[in-house]
Formats: sequence, structure tokens, C-alpha cells
Amino acid sequence: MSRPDLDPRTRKLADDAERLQRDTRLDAWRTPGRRRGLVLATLAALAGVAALAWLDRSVALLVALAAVAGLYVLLRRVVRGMADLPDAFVDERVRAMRNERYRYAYQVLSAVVMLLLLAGYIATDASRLAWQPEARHLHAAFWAVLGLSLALPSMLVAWGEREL
Amino acid sequence: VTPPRAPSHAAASESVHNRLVVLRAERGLSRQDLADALGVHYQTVGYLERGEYNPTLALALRISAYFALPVEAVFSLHPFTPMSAALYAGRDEPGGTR
Repeated sequence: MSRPDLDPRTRKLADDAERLQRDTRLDAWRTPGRRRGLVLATLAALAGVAALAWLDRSVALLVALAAVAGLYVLLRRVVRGMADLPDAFVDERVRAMRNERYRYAYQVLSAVVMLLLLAGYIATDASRLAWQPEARHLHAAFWAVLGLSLALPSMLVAWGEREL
Repeated sequence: VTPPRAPSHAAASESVHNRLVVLRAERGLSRQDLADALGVHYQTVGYLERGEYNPTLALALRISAYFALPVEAVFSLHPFTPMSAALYAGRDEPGGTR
């Protein structure tokens, strides 16, 4: 689709979005089984990042973060950027579908954040629990929430869509 | 006369039937051709054809305009009669010639 009415920067974004949506090079990754495998791998990598941050293993944490970043880039391309392209560059069905996925993502993320806050609240009461959260524990929670907030919409699209 | 009111859950559960498969086949269009003409993703055409996605009014009107047909000829709240049955309805000998 040519868009002569757009300014050069927006036209480039539109062209990139169109290329992403017409991509066929990653079709081997777009089977339901492989998509779900990719989602599980991303979740496992995120759990690994949180665990390494919790254990304060800085070097291993950097490696795990690089793995999460790589998996996220692959996941985003597999779902053709449907979870995060601007509204103007996707059609009405994709907008409706991702609205629904974002609703689920919001619920899941809210539950995770609430559980973390609750755990922190209980843990800070030393009279009930002889354990105090340290910086590394907050670090682990930070990476877990950041990773989920970025990747969850794409994960839900990859998991639930019949065709991509 | 007051029109009958649809139940409140109708909008969520009502499926819209369409003749997109027949119309696209008649004109020898691929899904990508139709998608390009309508400005949608080619998989959206598949979702529409399978009845897994109900188009907005704007898209339904664009589709009808593309095929140069009234919107009720392309979309309906009731299943369409098969084209062959519609064409040959009332004829005693379906294989006969005029």
C-alpha cells in the first residue's frame, strides 16, 4: 500500500509495519506448537532472570537478560508486532483482538504486582517473619515485572491466536 | 409500531453471515488481493470468511462497495440460501434449458 500523504518518518514506520505484517521468513515459527514453545521459553528465561537477580549473580544475570531480549525480539516478530504496532498501522480485527489480550495481560500483571506487594508487606513485619527483603530481592521483582509488562501482550497473542 | 428489542446479550453472541468466499471466488481474487483492496491484513479476510470476526459497519460498507453490491447482498444476520438453490428455485427440472 503506498501512502503518499504521509511525512517521510511516518511513511518509513508504516513501511516497516507493513513489512513486519507480511513477513514470511519466520513462518516456521508461527505454528501453534512452536509459538507456545516460544512463550514457555520466554517465561522460563524471565523466571531465570528473576532467580539470578535474587541470588545476586550479576554476570549470569546479564547473560539471562540478553536471552530474554533475544526471545522477546523473536516473539514480537513471530506475532508480527500485533501487540504493539500503532493503531494506524493495524486493521480493525487486530485492534479488537489485542484489546482483549491487553485486558488479560492487565489482569495477570495486576495479580503479580499485588502478590509481590503483599509478600513485601508481610516480609517487612519482622515480628511475624524473621526475614527482611534486601535490595537483591527488589531487584528480582523489578526484572520480573518489567519483563512481564513488556512481553505479556505478545505472549498472549502468540498463545491464543489461531493464525498469525 | 415499536420494533422488537433484541436481548441484551445479542450483540456479543450474534454472528453475521456473509458471501465473501463466493464473491471472491467469482472474481478470481486471492485473499491478499482483496485484503490490499480493502486495506486490511490478509488473515482478516480469512477470519471474515470463516465468520470468526464480524466486521464493523465501515468495513462491511467498504466490502460491499468493492463488490458493487448492496450490503444486504453480502452480509446477513441469517444464513444465506446457497447460490445454486437461489438461482434454480422454482424450476421443475434443474438440469433443463430454456
